[in-house]
Amino acid sequence: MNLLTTAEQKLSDEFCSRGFLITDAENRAALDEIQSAVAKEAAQFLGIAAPESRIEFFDRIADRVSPSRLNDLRLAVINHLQAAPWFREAYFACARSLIEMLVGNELAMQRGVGFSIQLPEDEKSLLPLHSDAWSEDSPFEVVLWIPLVDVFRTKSMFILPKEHEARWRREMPDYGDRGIDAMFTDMEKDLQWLDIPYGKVLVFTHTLMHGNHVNRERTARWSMNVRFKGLFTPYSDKRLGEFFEPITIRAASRVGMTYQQPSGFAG
Amino acid sequence: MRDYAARNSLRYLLSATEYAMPSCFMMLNTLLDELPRLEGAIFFSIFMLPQRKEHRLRIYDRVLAEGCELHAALENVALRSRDDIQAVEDLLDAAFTLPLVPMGGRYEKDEASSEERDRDEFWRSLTAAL
Repeated sequence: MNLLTTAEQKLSDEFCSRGFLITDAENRAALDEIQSAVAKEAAQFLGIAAPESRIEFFDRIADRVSPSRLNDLRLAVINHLQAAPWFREAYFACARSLIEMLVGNELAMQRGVGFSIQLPEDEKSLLPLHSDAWSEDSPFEVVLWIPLVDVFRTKSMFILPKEHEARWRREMPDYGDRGIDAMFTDMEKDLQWLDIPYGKVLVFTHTLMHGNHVNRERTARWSMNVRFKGLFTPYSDKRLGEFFEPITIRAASRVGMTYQQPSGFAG
Repeated sequence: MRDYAARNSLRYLLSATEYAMPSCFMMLNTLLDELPRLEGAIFFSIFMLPQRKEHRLRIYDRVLAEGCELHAALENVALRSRDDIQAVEDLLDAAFTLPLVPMGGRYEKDEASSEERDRDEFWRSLTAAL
């Protein structure tokens, strides 16, 4: 019996058939607060005043930061965000009802935050073609990926659309000796670069092959990613506790988790 | 754990290793007796705590009564006041429920990883809770 509403079924069907959804951030104020905090921390790292235009500041960060300093900037921002008591709730708020609809309303959230800055023409900050489910991640996870600038073409991430997935999964062993870069080269024509303006968010299943490549656009990409999963769905090596924490435990689960049967009967 | 202590400005004094026997907490209990002379304890993992809730709650009471803190380096959690107990217990309660859910809460990618997980302390401790 399927009791999803018509709207829920439509989104569910789209997610299942494409593997991803791009939608408006549900809480624009929360997204703007995150963007503002990142801009302030980045400006502080550079020893300059907070920018008036955050997007212009982010887009043109290559004028102020060399690739050799990039990781220090990235870590400064990550440490600041992870210490901010409001950050995780704000991030979740950007797509809360969508994640609840796709995953469930009893959730575990990744403890840390993935944060990426990709300068134009920087050949070092690359994330090769991969599926997270090939390594430490459970296929029951979804990723909430949020750009802090407009992203498009090579300034964005690519995804292998689901309609091509079965074929490339079959062919992957043929690249066992040649490597993943060779597979990317041959697969490139099938890849989709995701066009996501600031203000929109991406939720995708990382069972799809995805990644990024050299940013050939003129401006830098700033993006964040955090994984969510059903609290009681199977975990892989990214475990509850070390990597994930519960964020929405429901009352019935609280009762069930701590229930104790009567015992001590003598027979 | 030394790295955790350094990152959190905690003075790392000595380490203690619990005996390997299942459900043995002799070293932990010895450590708890030392609390009046300490600022707290750092556990490698929060899952080293006893699986029985009433035992854990007694430990929290002793730690907090001495004005001490309890930390878990792997999960990066800290218990500094009674307000922190619920979050720690939520994590442990949810984890100890995993063996009861479909697929035992574990996604096995292949047979080898299944055998490896049978030897993995984290999953063994969860299963031992049943």
